[in-house]
Amino acid sequence: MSRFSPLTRKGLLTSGMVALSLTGAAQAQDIPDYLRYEPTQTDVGGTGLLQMPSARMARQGEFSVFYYDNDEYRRVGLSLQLFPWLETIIRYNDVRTRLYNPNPDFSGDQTYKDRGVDVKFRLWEETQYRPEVSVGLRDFAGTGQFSGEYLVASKRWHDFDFTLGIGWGYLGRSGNIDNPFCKLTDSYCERPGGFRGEGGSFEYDEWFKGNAALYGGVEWQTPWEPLSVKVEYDGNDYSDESSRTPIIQDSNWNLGLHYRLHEYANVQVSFERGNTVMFGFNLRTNFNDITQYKQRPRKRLAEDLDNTRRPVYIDQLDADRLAGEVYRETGWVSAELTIDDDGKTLNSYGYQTRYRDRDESDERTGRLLATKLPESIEAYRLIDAPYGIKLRQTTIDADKIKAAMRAETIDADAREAIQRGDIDTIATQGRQLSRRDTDWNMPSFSVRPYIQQSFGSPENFYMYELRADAYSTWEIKENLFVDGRAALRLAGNYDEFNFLVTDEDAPLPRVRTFVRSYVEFSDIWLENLQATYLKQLNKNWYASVYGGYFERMFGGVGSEILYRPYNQGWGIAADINWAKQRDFDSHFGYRDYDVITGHVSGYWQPEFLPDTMVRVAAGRFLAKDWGVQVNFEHKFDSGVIVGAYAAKTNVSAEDYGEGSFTKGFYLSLPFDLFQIRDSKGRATVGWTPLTRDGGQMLMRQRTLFGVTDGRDAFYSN
Amino acid sequence: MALRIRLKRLMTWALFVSGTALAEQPPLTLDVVYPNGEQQQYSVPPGTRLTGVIKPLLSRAGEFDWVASRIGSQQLQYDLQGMIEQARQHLNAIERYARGENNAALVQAAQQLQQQLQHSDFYASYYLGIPWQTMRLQQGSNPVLADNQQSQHFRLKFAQRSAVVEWFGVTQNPGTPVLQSPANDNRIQKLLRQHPPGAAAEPGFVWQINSNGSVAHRPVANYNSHKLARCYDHRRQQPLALANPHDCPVPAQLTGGTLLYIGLDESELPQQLTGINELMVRILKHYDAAGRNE
Repeated sequence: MSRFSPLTRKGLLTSGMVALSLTGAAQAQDIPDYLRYEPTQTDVGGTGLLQMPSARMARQGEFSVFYYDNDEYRRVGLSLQLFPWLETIIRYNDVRTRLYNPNPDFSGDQTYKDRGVDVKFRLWEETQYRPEVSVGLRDFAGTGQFSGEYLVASKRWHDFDFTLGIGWGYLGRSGNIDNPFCKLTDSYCERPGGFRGEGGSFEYDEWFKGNAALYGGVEWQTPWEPLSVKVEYDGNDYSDESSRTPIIQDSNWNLGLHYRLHEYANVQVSFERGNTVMFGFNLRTNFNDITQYKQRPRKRLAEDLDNTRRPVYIDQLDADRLAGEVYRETGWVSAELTIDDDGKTLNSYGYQTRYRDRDESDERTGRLLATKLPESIEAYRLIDAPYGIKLRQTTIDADKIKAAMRAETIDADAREAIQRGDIDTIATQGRQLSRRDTDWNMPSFSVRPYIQQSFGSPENFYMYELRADAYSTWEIKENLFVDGRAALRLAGNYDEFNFLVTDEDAPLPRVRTFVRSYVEFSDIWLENLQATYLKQLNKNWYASVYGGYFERMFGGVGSEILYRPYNQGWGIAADINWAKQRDFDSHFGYRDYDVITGHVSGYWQPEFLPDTMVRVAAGRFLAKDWGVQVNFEHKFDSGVIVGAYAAKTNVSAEDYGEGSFTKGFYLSLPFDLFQIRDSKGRATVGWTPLTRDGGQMLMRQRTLFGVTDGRDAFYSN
Repeated sequence: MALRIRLKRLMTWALFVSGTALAEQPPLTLDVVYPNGEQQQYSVPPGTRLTGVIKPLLSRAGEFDWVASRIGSQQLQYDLQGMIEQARQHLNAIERYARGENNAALVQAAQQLQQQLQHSDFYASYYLGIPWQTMRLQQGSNPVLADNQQSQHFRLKFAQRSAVVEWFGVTQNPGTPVLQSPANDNRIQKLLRQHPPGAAAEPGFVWQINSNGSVAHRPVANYNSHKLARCYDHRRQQPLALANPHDCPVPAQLTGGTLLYIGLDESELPQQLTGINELMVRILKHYDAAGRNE
């Protein structure tokens, strides 16, 4: 935003205040009390004052989308409180005064976008006398143009939250103090410039070096609940900016107003550097708190138990009809029903299709079975056997669940009747009562919208492809599946993708950068057509072989083996594949390039990081490069999963190209958070900074880790 | 603490035999305690549902405050007695540890909690507040007077809602719980200023135990009072546990019947001695303010 004359500044601020007042009168009542003192966001995302971060951490699960604007920069990004002690931010700085690339054939008139990632760790929690102390890295994995580090303390006194910190790099450019580390060793006196390779690496050799500055300020929660006032002393003097335009700082003091428009929206207006007005807003939610009302059929009650005619003997049971009723009412597919030899336990081999909450679905299934089965049946055993692979069993005590339905005791609890554990055996137990015939199963079909997207590409900041995909699954025999997917492109701009390297010049085989060629060939194509045979070797070992068109760019054959003990939170797998690159000039042909690719993968849910999954895959990637991919996922109470991955291989940063190595983030959102019906489905929204050829993995259907999720129930519960 | 029952009358509950009552089982004993302290003992046929137990008493409905009424059993009371004994042993161990560390404040705090346990009444209850309206409508909410521990002896206690906020724990006023009259301003910060925590108290937090058994571990210091509390529900299926932990906002003003527990500072304790506060709160959910008057 332009610099203003004093009169203009005053006028604008006054107008802003009036606008805030008017909106506030209408909206303030919508703000819950607990938000009143919650930490607010800075101009660049993350909790803090205006330009400067505080030591504060938001509640775990806090998620904000922010946008801030001034003359030189527009900033948009996401902020997430991943753990109570860890804040993470991804951000794009749109440098409005520069082009992305001097060559207009490459990036047109797109302005320069600088990607940045921040982290902030809490070192100490606040106590009565000790401040909260945090250390943070800003823009630590980008080009380093906005990178800075800080150590900061915050202490609340009634309605005032004071912050005092020391910043390095972008945050300490004014150099108003001597770098304390410089007194320890000379190597900290100067900050190396530039960045390694093609950007995107951790520039750890710069951290905490060079100029340092004290910064600080206070945020005052006014008696008017939606409004807080911020005053800060800036550690940056804006003497060396990415905008390559002079930014004049008339004052180190910045003043701002933060206003909560609504429970889910905030605006911030500030007057900074003594001459500049900043404006921004953020939208927030909390991934732990998101819930959705559910329209569910009523649970079977005592009346159903007493008023339903039940068979006296199990042989009088119409098992096929029962399986149908169970599916319609509870979403549990009973692929096979058996009765134990002693006639006391009914076994149902199947899988849950509707409820993400397994406790809820198992209770409903137990209640229904209690109203349908003879009194002689003492237990109902639900064996999770998706794809014919037996993963775990849930045993429902018939007497206990009936006692709970009838409320036969004050403390009767239907959930107490349900016990979950490992399977007893991989053999099917008991005498068969019914079995779903798969021999003549017809393929199932569905059509769903699909969007593929990436952000920050040189050609266009937002590249996307909106499609209508037709899915088909054909269960030919038990354990043998054919999955197919045909795609119809509805809209998109991937045809702008412009990788300006010829095949001959490319340092790596072009395994992912032919995107444009694939897009331009046809608006309708076969995305995948893969046959998979799954085999359970014993309780903990699983294997698969597969072949066909794995994905849009590769087909071939492969095999995988997995060891995954029940409920231990870890597993190990190995896969090997011969993959051949699909042709982009025909629907079914192949190009000359082929590769043997495969990985040894370890899966781990560390006890010290609850609801977290770490996956490490080491091996050979599609471009014949060797290396490791690390994938990190955290699941919040609502079921939302946030994930990040990075692959580092023996490809140098120069050969890899911009970004230096493959990395990305994604959100996996349960469908049932957006609808009143239960669903097990998930939608994934990805953020991939750049698509290059190094560190790329094969994308195949039905990985064993996904198929066997019931062993740990990370994604499905 | 054992049930202290003064028998006044023995009645047969013959009129309220439900269809599911099993004639061959011996009848249950039910003690009914009225708000005025009067007690009566009844014999109830097995299989009688709670509405069947309560309906004959409705002629005195004007005396009932459903929110303050409770239902428990002798067996549950034994379980609670066991927890109280466990807490006493735990506090003894803390006191021994504190003496070894020459920590006079911690010694005093452990003694204070011991004394408070000794001088307080507890009545283990499945229901902390009887949901009479829903009980009449749904069979699932109207259980049979029985429990999984096959208790033969139950107690239904009608009480009046307490009008005061009571205190328990490590305060600077050692001795029995402090009675706090219901002033117009029951903000927790004000009450804490009147009855400040002791030197060995858990800093920055108090446990708020509501009359319905729900519990909030709430931040109360200047630096954290704006944050959400960690809250727990009371479930009749697990009456001695803290169920369903979740974050929740709690109002600054306290209502009558609230019990505040100021816990020990567990950060000063070795790992094996921690957990005393949660144990105390599970006991204090069943604090019987009216018990002293019986």
